[in-house]
Amino acid sequence: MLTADSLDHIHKILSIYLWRVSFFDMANLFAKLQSSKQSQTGRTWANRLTAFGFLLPALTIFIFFELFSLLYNVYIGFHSWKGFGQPTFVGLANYVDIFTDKLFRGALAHNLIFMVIALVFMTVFGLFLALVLDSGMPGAGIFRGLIFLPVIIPTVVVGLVWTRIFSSQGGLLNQFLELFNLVNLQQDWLGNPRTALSAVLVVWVWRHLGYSVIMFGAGLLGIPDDLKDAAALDGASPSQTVSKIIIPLLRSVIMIVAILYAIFAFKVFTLVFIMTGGGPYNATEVMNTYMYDRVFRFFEMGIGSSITNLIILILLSFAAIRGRLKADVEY
Amino acid sequence: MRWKEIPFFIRLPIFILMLFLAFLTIAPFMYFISLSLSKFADTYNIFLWPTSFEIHNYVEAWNTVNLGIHYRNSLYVTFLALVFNLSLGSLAAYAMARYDFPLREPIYNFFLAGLILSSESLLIPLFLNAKVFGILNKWWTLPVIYATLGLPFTIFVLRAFFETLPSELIDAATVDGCNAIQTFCYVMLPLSRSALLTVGLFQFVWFWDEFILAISLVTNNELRTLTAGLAKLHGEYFIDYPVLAAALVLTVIPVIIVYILTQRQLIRGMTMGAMK
Repeated sequence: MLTADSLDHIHKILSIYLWRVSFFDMANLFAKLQSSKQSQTGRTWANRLTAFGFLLPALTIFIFFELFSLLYNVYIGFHSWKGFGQPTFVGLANYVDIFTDKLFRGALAHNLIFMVIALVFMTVFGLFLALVLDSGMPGAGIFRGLIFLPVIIPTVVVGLVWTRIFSSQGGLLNQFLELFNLVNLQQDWLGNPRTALSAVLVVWVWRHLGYSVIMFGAGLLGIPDDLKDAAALDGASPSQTVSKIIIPLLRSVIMIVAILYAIFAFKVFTLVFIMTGGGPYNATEVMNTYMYDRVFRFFEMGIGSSITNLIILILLSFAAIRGRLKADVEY
Repeated sequence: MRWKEIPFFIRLPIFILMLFLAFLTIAPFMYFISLSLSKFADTYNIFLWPTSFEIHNYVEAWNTVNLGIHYRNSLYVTFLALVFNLSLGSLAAYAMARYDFPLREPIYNFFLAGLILSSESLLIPLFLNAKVFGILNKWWTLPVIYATLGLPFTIFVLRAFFETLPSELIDAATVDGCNAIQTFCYVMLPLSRSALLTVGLFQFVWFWDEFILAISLVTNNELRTLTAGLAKLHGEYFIDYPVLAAALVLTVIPVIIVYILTQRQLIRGMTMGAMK
């Protein structure tokens, strides 16, 4: 049982630990500030010119390809344009158009489903796996290496491999079902509108789970062992240790992982494009595949740009939250 | 929590779950390796292990479906993009870490803002302007654009790293008669090998993976990279699955080799750059 006394004890250790961390952070920060002040070379014109020379090539291509493209995208978003001739200004009509389109709202909803799956499954299950690996399970190192492997495999390859696995013509999944005498469950997983989205989601989770396991693992390494041992000595059960000590300490990491996956969820494109192309009957359409269709099949550049701008806006708001988090966590 | 302190009846199901997950991770790889070694006639009943050893699928993939050309293009694009990205990025990062000049922080934040832009978000303007600026189907298009898209992360990591190096090094180099460029090339760069490696690995994985720009900005089959070539292969021809499987295995090999050699650094780079 966890008594008030032992809770108090844990809190004391916790506060010492937190204090220590914040103290070291402050000390580091001061050292950094001082050293960066000293390390600056003098403010002579020659130095400024050198710095500018070093900066110029990167700045040039960055302005040319990114800033210019971004502004151009905003501009096209307010115009109706087929890609040739003169764009005509239409104001917000493109944005009205996409939000009144049922297909687009469906695509947006699918992105949101990706996000919910990410927030719930990737964080909870990722944290669970990280805890298991951190406990010193036999073979943890091998497993850690394995779970990260899908992250580095090119998306196109992942998509093609799993398309074959889900195929109705001798796909691996259907073969497994046959092996376990579940022939009546066999189907064309990606061709059936009711299963297609789930199938794509499974692959997406398979590809990206490694991130959260590794990031939580890094967070857990930052929690000193004596803290976990002290809780155990005071009679805290494993679940209490997790909920009362580990989760509060990992709060920032959990937030970062959640936002990371939220960002991934709005960037989905290649996997859907390769596996289903948004079909069957738009069952797996996401914003980016919808955008690709409107641009490369119907040549509606304005519509495409407005969707892209919307996605950038969403990502920007996530990044803003992430930027505020960065201040109080470092790992 | 120690593994040994967890009661056995909880430990066992967890261990079985982990084994199952490990199996889920490996099974697709095993399936495709065995598919790539099987006869065309066996395509539809291949399981996790090969039933024959048809190495000629690889030869066929390399020669008849132009994988060799795409492979060469991918290696070339990735290499060139890495060179551009790391050289321009490290120069800019060094300037911002070691020199004081007007607008330094605004420029740095301007670069950082680029972290949220991915290739999907720049597809339309790049594609539209590609015709105007004549960058469609050029050998340098993809390397330059990849390098640019990768700049924010490179600058972010390398600036932080350069700031940790002691300033005495620069002073010593200056006393010994190095000019700014010599100091950078002979003192700073050799010292930042590990940071360059971390960044470079992340960029390598990303460049090798990039798809949407590769398929939109390059329409000439002679210049297509692997990812674009594979998608086209899948979409347009009658599918000879064993040959396709061989092509996929060949595509993955460089990444796996790099992963095995530099696991720790690669994971660090990937998690640091995950925002991209």
